[in-house]
This record gives sequence, C-alpha cells and structure tokens, in this order.
Amino acid sequence: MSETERDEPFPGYRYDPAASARADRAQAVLRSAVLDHGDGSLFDTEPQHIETALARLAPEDGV
Amino acid sequence: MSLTGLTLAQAAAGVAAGEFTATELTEAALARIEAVNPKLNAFLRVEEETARKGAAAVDAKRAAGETLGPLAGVPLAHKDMYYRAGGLTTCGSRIRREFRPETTSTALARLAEAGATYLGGLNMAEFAMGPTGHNEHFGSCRNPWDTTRITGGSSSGSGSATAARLCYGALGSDTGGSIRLPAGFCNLAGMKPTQTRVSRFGAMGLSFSLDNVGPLTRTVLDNALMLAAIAGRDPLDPTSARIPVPDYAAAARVPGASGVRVGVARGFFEEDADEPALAARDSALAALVAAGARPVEVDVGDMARINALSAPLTASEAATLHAHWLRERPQDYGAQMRARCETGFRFSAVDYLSAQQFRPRIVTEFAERVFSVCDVLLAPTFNVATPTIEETDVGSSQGFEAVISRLSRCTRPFNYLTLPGLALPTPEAVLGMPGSIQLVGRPFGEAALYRLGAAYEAETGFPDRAPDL
Repeated sequence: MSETERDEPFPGYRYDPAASARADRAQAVLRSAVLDHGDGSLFDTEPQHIETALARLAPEDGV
Repeated sequence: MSLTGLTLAQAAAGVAAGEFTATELTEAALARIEAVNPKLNAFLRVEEETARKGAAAVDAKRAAGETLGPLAGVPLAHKDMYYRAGGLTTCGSRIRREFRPETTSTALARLAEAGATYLGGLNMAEFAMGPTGHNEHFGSCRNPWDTTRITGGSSSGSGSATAARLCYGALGSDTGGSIRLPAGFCNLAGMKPTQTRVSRFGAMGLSFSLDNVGPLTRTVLDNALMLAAIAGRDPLDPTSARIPVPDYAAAARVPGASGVRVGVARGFFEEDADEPALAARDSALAALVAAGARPVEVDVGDMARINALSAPLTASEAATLHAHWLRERPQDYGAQMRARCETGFRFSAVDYLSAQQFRPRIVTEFAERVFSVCDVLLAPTFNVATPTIEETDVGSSQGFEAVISRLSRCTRPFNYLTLPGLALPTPEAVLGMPGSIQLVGRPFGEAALYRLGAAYEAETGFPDRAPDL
C-alpha cells in the first residue's frame, strides 16, 4: 500500500500525503536526537520525575 | 484620559476609590468594542448582559461597603476556550460552535472571585493550534498596529483586543508560544508561567504536557495582578504545583534591575533571523543595561534538539484528544489542524515516551547550566518581521510547516523546558511593527521576571504606545 492510500489511523480515513511526509521528517529528527543524546543513565528515569526536578529548581524564597 | 485608556491597575484602583463605577468602565469597553471590533475581528462573541450584570454586582458591593477583590469591576475578555458553565465556548472551532460546558474553568472562577467582569469570548486559532491568528471558521483576527498583518497566535483575539483597548487584559494559553507571540506582535506583556503554576482545569486541552494558562496585558503590573489571581494549587487539577505563590504584584511594584545578570541567548536564536528583529532585541538589551542590569554571554546548548523532542508531545497528545472527532467528522476541521493531528498519529509510543523520559534531565541540565551564569535569560520572542495575513495563509500546503516553524522557533523550546517566559515589547520597532523579547526565568521564578520587567518598562515606557484605530 502506498503512502497516499494509507487508511490509518482509522479504516476509511485518508492521510494527507503532505502530512505523512512531514511526520516522517519529524520522526527522523526526533529519533536522531534520541540516538545522539540518550544513554544508559536514563534507564531509571520516569517521565513523572519532571515534578521532582521542578520542585528542586524552584527559588527558595519564591523570588 | 478616556476610561479605556487606563491600565488594568488604574481601572481597579479607580473603582475601589469610587472615582468611577464598574458600570461606567464596562459601558466604555462595550462602546469601544462596537466601534473598533469590526476592524479587528478580535471578539467572537460579546456578552453585554453578563458584563453589565457583573459590573452592577461590583457597584452594589461597593455601595454596601463590602470588601472588593483586587480586580473588582475590571472588564476582561478571554480566549474562547475557557469553560463557563452554561456559556458558549467555541474553542475557535466548527465542532464546538454550540458547545456549552457544564463546568467553569478554575482560571475564570478565580478571576471572577477577584471581581473581574467578563466581556465575551475572543478569537483564537482553531483548537489553539497555530501561531498566526488565522481561523477558517470565524475569520482571521487582525493586528491593531496594521490590520493587514497577523496578530500571532494562537491567542490572537487576546493580543488584538488588549492592544486595541477593547479590554484591560485577557487570558491566553501557551503550548508553543501562543501567549508570547500575540503579546509580542501586538506590543503587550505576555506571561507563559512555569508548567503547572496555573490550574488547567476547565481550559480546553491541546497538549497535556505543554499547555499553560497565562495573561496578556498592557503593563507588567497588570500582568502580575492577573497571574496573582489565577496561580496556585487547585485540587481540580492534580497536576497543578503545590509550591507557594509569591506576591507577584509586590514584585512588579518594586522594579529592580540593578546587578541582575541577564544572559543573552544567541546561536539558535539568531539563526535564520531577520536583521531588524535582532536589532530590536539589541535595543531591549541596551534598555536593560541602562536600567542597571549586567549582560553576560551564556551557552544555551542545542535548542534544535529540544524542539525535536517537543514535537511528539504536542502532536501525539493533540491527536489523542482529537481522534474521535477526526474519525467521525474530519471535514469539520480546518486544513492546518487536521494536518498537524495527522502527524501525531505517526509517532510511536516509544518516540513519545522517549521525549518524556528525556525531559527531567534536559530541564535540570539546562537550568543548572544557564542559571549558574545568569539570573534571567534574554531571547527574542520571534526573530522575524511581522508577516501579512495573506502571506501566511498557507492552509496545509508545503509552506505551512515553514511558517509555523519560523514563527514559533524561539518560543517552543521553553515549553518543553517548562520555564516561565515574560514577553515584553522592544524599544525599537521591527519594520514599523512591534518587536518583542522574552525574559526567561528558572522554574517558578515569575516574581523575578516581573521585578526586572517592571524596571525595563520604566526605562522604555512601552505601554505609552497605542495603535491608531
């Protein structure tokens, strides 16, 4: 099945071919960023750790 | 000065002191909306009856000697995506043209509690997705400084209406620049607070991870007053931060730039830039230095990587939210909205979670590196000259990706980084149109931004400039 005939994400739904091309580019850029900067130290990181990070970085006096 | 020419703080003080009534303020705003809005298309809906009732309630309260809230009697209007129980909330869309929510957003409830009155719903990009101000369903919003040019988006009406003195301030929302861009293109102060600083309950969602609620106003103090009213923990939004809210208005009332280290963000922020936009940025830096700040050079690192990591968050979360309607009624979406959601369906779960997993580390590394060298980071809000509505009316064609990417290039990284950003007008214009910088602080550092922003405002006098309509 060609890109223009792709009927994802729902049966009968047609992707805009331009959107598909954009998605491919965005995905490639993302994966390259992950490949370049990811390492084993992330193994123990969960996304919700962002809350802890923010609390730790906040100014102590609020100003 | 006419009543509509007052700042939000002056309007609130005038009502409190009995210099004029809330009803007089509201009537002045309604008259100006009637005269000027046809040129701008900033309001999607004016709710005269609600506004008059709210004003009368404030006047009655004052007459009875009751304590008034800090925004008592001040007419505000908001991006049409904040739920008011029983009231229309279109989200700038055809799909929700007749939507009447059953709940009221915490941000609106808190503004009402502070005494503000509600004038109506403001224009916006469809479902808050788009940085220009175009809207296929309701017509594009126009910039009061030049009605052939964009307002910036997605909080287009919030920028246009506040700059045109149709209201004293407005809520916007910011997922990739949607408060800071219209504030910047319309000569306003616009605050994207720290992620989780303001409750998102009852605010239409676009991206759970990147959405922020914040104000657009004419002055820094006005902005601080609005943020003070809405910030803080909300049990209805479990993601809202528990960190105490400092006194933002007090910070804005005591301007301070002396000795503040201002880091100049270069590299990424100067690439692909229009020279006049950078000259305007430099004029802002000179004003900060004149006010007493100390410029320092700072390495911001690889911002393109940050934008790459934020892409799956916005796209996948928006696609998730819109999947049902995209399946059932795709024809009711505008071309841009539909195309951008489609991108979201194409990222894998691992793509999405990788971007989320990177985030705590990247935020920590960035904040530790940058804020060990400076107190506040200075970056352009946008580094292009304001385009016309016509040249950015690109639908979902090949051009639209470039337009979106270029306009929001300087704002998007700070959504992924969660950091607060205060957009402020530059002293120097960009080819005759307002220019803008953003002051970026450490997480929950909004008060420091207001203090520095107020000093910058005193130096530049940017609120004195008004569009000729």
